[in-house]
This record gives sequence, structure tokens and C-alpha cells, in this order.
Amino acid sequence: MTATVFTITSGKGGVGKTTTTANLGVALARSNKRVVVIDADIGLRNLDGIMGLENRVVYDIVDIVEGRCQLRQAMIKHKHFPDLYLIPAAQTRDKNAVSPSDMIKICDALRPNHDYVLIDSPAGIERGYRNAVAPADDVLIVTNPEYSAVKDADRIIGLLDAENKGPGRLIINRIRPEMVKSGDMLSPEDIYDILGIKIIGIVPEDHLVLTASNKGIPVTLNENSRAGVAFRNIARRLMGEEVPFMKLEGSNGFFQRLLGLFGS
Amino acid sequence: MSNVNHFFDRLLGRNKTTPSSSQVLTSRLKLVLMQDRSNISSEKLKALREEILAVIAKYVEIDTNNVEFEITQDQHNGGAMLIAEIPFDKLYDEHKGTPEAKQKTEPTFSEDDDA
Repeated sequence: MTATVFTITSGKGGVGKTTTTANLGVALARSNKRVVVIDADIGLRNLDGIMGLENRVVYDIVDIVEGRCQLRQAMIKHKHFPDLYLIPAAQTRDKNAVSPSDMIKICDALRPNHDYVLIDSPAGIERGYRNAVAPADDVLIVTNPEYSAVKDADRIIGLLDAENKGPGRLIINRIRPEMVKSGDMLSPEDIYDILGIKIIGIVPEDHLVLTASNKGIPVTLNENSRAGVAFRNIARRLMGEEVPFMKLEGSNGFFQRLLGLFGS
Repeated sequence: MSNVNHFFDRLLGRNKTTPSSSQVLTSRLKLVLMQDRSNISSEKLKALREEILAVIAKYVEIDTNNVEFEITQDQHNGGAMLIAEIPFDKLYDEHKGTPEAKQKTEPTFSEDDDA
């Protein structure tokens, strides 16, 4: 058994990389998968807090790289899922404290005993991004339906292609169906038309995401959250299941047509 | 009444004559990404523009105020394509033959053209 390593990246900041990583990690763990999530955003540690584990951080990824602890010691076990672990980023160091080959070594050490490793990439296209992408078997690109997020996603797609890591799969986060319907927001079809890579998830805007992060409990654990359902569906697709795109309110079957376009 | 309908159409983004904001964004993104993907920097594009215009200006008079250069998508192969819109000067259109006549009187074959 060897783990698949997914890197979650975006180019632009603030599109929902960390939220996506936390939710996919929890959703996969809920399906009884053995999962490690890694925060690769060194200097701006956040994944621990989004998962409600900020008070359990002792060692971090830089401690592993610099030999101050064993890999196992830096892995924080999740409160509710004993097979879900977090490797936190260092808060006081910078991206150069870790190299792409360090990341590959860490992931290779994790592969034999886990099913999935998810890496939360920092924003940007510099060292931190390269660290995050180096060990990836597959890349998930998070974007929002707006100018800068789509433009930056295209840049990432180009970089991934140049590094033979492409094409990656797209997660469109924070879609507002009513605005899509009135022509005031890019639709998933528009974004597919522009970027030309396969869409693995469409996550509706949902205020429950914020309240969930306030509490440090990923939204996918909330059965009433539509974003939570969307994240669970992405996790199922990662596990190879064919899951239709959810019907979003007021969409008149619009998103169902996407299903025909993009398959699983 | 039709004015009222028109108002609501606009309000709801249903107006057919003006593109919706998502359509505007789609075309803006396509254009800007085509430029990104073509790997031509704005400095290069500027130099290209100046050199092309200089060459054409040797033969015809150009309406320089209405010149447009853009990198766009080639409908046939999907790659990037340069579209240059270089209108001739109106005065040139109206007095056809003037530059040729000029050329006849002052034939120039050397590189140090008067331009």
C-alpha cells in the first residue's frame, strides 16, 4: 500500500486552499482512509488552526528537516479521526528552511503507511510553491470565479505543464448560483472554457464555511452545509468514485449539463 | 412600458445588447491569458509594433492614431495570433498615387532612407 500525494495550490492567495485541504483531509479520514495533511506555508502557519489543532503543535516541518525531531513526533493526531495526522508549518521561519528534495523525502517516508498525503501550498509561484509541488502525484488547483483567481490558475497550469506535473484538476470554490444565473459571475462552463482542465469539484459559497473555521471544525463535518457536501463529493472523486455534480439551487439543471461535459 | 421592461432586463442582466459582466470577464480573461501564454512581454510587443509601423510607413501613409495591435486566439489552431489593425491615412485614400509619385521623383535604394 502506498499513498497518493495531492498538492492543493492556486497561485492567488485567499481562494480557499487551506479550507480545501482541511476539508478533503477530514472527508477522506471519515471514509476510513489513513491521511496526512501537510502545511507547506512556512512562516504563515494556518492549517493547524483551521483543523482546530493549534494548541497541540510541538514540532513542525522545519524541525523534521533540521533533525530536531523524528517525523512521527511532528505528526499531530486529529481529535476525532485517529488515522488523520497533521504536519504543521513553522511559524517563525521562511520558505527557504525547506527544499523540494526535503519535501520529497518526507512524503516518501509517509507513503508506505498512509493512503493519502495532502499538501497545502502557500500562495505564489516561488520557493514555497515549488516545495509543495515537488512530491505531488497529482495537483488540485483551487480557483474562484473572478479575474485574478482564474488568471493565476492559468499561470499555475502552465508551470505544472512545464514541470511535467500537469495538467492537474480544478476546484471552483465560492460559486454563487444566483449570480451565475443572472450573468454576473463566471459559470463553471466559462472557467472550463478559459482554462481547459478537468473540473473535480464545484463548491458553492456557504456562510457555514466561516463559522466552521471560527470553531476549528472543518465544514464537511456539518451535514447541513452545501459546501460540506461538495467537499465530501470531491473526496469521493479522489477515491475513484463517480459522483455527479450536485444540483445547485436555481440552476435549472445547468450544473447537470456539466456532468455530461466533464464526466465523473 | 417597454422602457420599464428594458430597465428590469438591465437590472437582471438579461439585456441582449450589452454583454453580462460574466461575458465581459470571460473575454477579458481569454485575451489577457492569450498574451500571457504567448510569452511576449509588453516591451517586446511595443518594439514589434514600432518596427512594423516603420516598415509600413515606408510604403503608405498610416493613420497612426487608430492603430491597434492585439494578441488573440487563432480560431483554426487554437494558438496565439497577432492581429494588427493599421488603417491607411484618409488623405492617402483620397489622393491615391501621391506616395508613388513621390517615390518616382526620389527613388531610394540605399539603407539610409530619409523616412
